[in-house]
Amino acid sequence: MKDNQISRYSKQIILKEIGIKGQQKLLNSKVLVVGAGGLGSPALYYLASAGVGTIGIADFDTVGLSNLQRQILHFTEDIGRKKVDSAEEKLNRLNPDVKIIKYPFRLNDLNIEDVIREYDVVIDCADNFQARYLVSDCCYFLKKPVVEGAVVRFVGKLMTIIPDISPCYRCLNPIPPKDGIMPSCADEGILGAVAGIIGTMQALEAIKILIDFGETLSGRFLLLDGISMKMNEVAIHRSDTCPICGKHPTIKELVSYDVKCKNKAYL
Amino acid sequence: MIQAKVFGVENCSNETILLEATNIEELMDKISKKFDTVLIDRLRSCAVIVNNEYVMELDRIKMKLKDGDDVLILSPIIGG
Repeated sequence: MKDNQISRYSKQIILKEIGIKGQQKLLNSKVLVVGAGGLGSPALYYLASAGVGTIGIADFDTVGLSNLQRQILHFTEDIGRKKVDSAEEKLNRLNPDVKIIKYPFRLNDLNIEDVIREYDVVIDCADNFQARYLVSDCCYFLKKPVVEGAVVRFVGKLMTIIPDISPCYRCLNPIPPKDGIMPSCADEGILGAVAGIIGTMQALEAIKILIDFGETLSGRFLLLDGISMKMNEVAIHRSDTCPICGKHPTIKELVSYDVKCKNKAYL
Repeated sequence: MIQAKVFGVENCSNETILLEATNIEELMDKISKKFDTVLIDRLRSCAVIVNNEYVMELDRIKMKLKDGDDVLILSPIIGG
């Protein structure tokens, strides 16, 4: 490690859980963040500032004006730019030690394995059912830990999945909801600070997995209610009937879903 | 009395609700009547957590609620 790196990371190197060894592990680590939005922004900032050596960013979208209230990697002058380009620029300025790899396309059942295979940990910051099932299924097949975060309005949820050890995404949500039940994602509000809390916690979980210290949210999830500022820790168990990690799995390859949200007119 | 709270479902405030119910279906039925009756299918798509333990789909029907139980109904949250 170079002198300026020791100085840059000194405040975390002096933590006994991290030290020079832990810092070196971070610098050699690879993390993929799926979605550079409300959750992905704070997660990416903290991964980059902590010195995670290689960070992959998957996002096919461009920056819009209504993103800026919560997607803090993107600034007003970035409107219209690819989110991966805007994110890369900020993270390079924050920490030139970090190598950023961009995936400016929609992940699907044909391309996702080649992307995820390269990484040690995946952070799921997606905003749709298709991506969430795809990422969690693929991480199960490739045996990659995944840190799941999700937010809506003032509510946030967080869990860490270590394949074959923790309950997986499908243990809790065997199949996506039926078409027409969920309100359109575009119609649901979210306060930026709530995404900020959960995204930051996702980065912390990933750092603990990479260095291997502390306790992750494996076998439990956190539920944050920002309105009452209360947090619940919920115990979860693996399901024998889980279609992917249960005793008799029925899903043996990646599936693409297309969950149709409820039409706004009926809201 | 059951103490219930709904998370992330449109038209349901997330205040704690106190009501009588002996099972989860009855609880969801009463909650949907309180807020918005068309929401019953939406509530059924939610996860159920009783006393900070996640209730698996298959256990949901047979599970009995008892006085003092703390129930959280949680919408599938996917926002990022």
